[in-house]
Amino acid sequence: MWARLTQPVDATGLAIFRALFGGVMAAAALRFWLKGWVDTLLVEPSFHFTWAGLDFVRPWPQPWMDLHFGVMALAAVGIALGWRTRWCAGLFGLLFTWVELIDKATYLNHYYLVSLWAALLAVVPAGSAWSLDARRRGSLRGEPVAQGWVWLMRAQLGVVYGFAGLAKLNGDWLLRAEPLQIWLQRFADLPGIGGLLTLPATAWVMAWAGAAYDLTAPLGLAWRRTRPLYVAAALAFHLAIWLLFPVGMFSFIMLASITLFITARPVEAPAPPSGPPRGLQRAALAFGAAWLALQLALPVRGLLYPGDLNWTEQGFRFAWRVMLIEKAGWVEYRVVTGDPPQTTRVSPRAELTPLQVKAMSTQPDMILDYAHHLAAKYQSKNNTNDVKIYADAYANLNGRPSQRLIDPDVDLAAQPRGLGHAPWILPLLRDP
Amino acid sequence: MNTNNNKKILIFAIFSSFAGCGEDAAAPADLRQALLRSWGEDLLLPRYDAAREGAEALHARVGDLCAAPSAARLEDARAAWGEARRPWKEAQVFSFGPYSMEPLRYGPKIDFQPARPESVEGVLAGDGALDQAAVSGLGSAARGMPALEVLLWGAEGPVEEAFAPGSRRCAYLEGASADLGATVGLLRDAWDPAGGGYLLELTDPQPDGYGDLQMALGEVINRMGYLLENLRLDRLGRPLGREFGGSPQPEVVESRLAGRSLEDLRDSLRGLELVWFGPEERPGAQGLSGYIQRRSPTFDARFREQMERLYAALDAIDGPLTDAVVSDADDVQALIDALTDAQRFIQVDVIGALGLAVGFNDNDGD
Repeated sequence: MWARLTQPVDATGLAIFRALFGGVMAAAALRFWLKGWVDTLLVEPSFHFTWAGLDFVRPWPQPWMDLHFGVMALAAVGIALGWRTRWCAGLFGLLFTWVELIDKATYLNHYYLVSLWAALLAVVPAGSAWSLDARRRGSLRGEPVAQGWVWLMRAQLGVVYGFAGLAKLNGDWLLRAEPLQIWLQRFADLPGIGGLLTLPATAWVMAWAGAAYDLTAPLGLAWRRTRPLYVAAALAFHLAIWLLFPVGMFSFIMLASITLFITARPVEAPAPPSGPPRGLQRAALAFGAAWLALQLALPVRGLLYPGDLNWTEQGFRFAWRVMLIEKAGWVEYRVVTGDPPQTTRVSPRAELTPLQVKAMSTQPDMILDYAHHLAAKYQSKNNTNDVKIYADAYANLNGRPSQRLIDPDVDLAAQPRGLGHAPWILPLLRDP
Repeated sequence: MNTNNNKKILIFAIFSSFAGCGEDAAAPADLRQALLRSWGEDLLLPRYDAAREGAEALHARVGDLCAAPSAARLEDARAAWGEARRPWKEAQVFSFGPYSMEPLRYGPKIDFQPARPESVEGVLAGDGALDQAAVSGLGSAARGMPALEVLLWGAEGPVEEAFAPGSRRCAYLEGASADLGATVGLLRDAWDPAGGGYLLELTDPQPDGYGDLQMALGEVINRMGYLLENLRLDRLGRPLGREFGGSPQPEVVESRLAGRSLEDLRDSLRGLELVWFGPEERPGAQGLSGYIQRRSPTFDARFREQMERLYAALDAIDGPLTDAVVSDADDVQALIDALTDAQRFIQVDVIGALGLAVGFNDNDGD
């Protein structure tokens, strides 16, 4: 096994992925800045839904946040060109992940994937060929890489597809073709194709085909005989998603990732040292094993929580549960202070941006975060610790009737943030 | 990239190239576009027209009153104020765009609530000009419908003295009513596709605006929910005080001097029905009903149920609202509860069923 992991292989596929990934990320950073999202999504909100333990991650004041994006874009260009590849990938990953961690409201699965790719590119020798690094070392064509690195990258993509497919094995997706039935309705009036897209059968076909593709893509792409078919399917699948749904850069990132499956042919090179791994090799092996273990563990953590994961969203993030839910929600808070108790009703719309309101109204941990914020605010305002926060929160899932999401009688100010089970999230009661 | 429109063009082009159906390019307009256009042309603009005409009628009645003041003419002027207010409140779902956005922001210039008698009295006590041009330069609290309400209902002493020809109150009334008609006209023109064209932002959304028809439709439906929230929190909740400080505050009731608070609420609810079913008096007018039926035929019945409950709760309140928030608090609370359920129905069930949960940008991806 060790011999196969260290087998030198052609690094062209890795280089193409590196170049495409860097290019797409440079475009994504520029696009984010041009759309004004640096200000509207990151700098301007007066409250941010920070991550437990990472509350120190905040946006820099302008113009430093613009500079942050400028450096991030340059680092992405560095990755694309293969200039000081590992350093650029590390810097890009750090800057990108910082942005991602500023506010949970902006969390996207493909942003998480970008952070993972950047972290891997900071370790994997992706600049060994077809890069400025390679040219500096004497040959643009560069050097082969150990097959293990290619496998690690492919395994990461396999984890994404595999868990995305497993997450689709649920009643809503397979038996009701939801939320696709809801989403496709928006095309009802499109001339010509609208009628086809809104046929119930279309959503069913897309649901089953999507699940089948996700579940089989890791093996289908890895096996040389089925690879052309799966590459064609990937093109059709991701272009269709990009055309039909507002998924931003997701499709381009995934299509860039497919290039990792370009055949990495063994090349003749000095024989790798025989015997057990030593030194750096041992560290590389440990890194790869730990990485994969973490990537397998994070998505399955959701099984540890009771209730419907798509409803409670405990263990939902970092688990490749993509395009599974259409949720609408509405939340207001009752702030109870003093003795005799006095109640003040607070709408989060007064303080939060529309995107934040939309995100928090269906995600229990964000409802809790804002409750804690309100508790601190009213404790300071009333100079008392006797502040209780209750939420009137309703949501619906994939076309079901609305129902309460949060127990209205639980003082959220007294509930801890963290990874534990949240018994104050009410179970999904009604089936459609 | 917005681009949902661009994407759709691409989808259509691809489909047409395969199916050879390029002639379908002249296919019927998008139902959402037709619905948004009907809301503008059959509901909003006619109501703003009616409100402007009402303001002009009020201006005429005020002229009559001040020419020969009498109790009967004062009642005529007050009735004209109420007539101008009805279509205005019926259009309240559309309190966005030029209604609320700078630099136009006509809404507060027409209906800054709650009325502030002290602002109006301050102007009356001054010696500045009070013609239309002068009133249009006053702050929002000293112009528009609430200022006219203070002038018509807040006068003390005999009518003949309070509204004596040439008095500052009469000059203020004439200037403020003329300003009201002009400002409603400006708001109407700002929406008119032949004028400022804000309606086109909804019916022909651009990448730097709503982006696509789905977002534009979502805006209007969300505004239905926001109107219910406004009724619940600002127009009932704050005056009732139970969840806003603990004690009743009748002084923040809307249209409290005219005793029209409950009628205002009724007109606003009527506006929701107009959005849902379309105005009956306009043949061919559309409402959300026709669109949402495609998703589920049960929504009409559920909406009717919500409205019946709202009207029943409204009817149960012994008016005026300034008294009810003190002496009939449970019935006021019952209406608030009904409004809560109605808001949840609109903002969760309807929005969810139509896939309209507002995605404010395409950063809002997977």
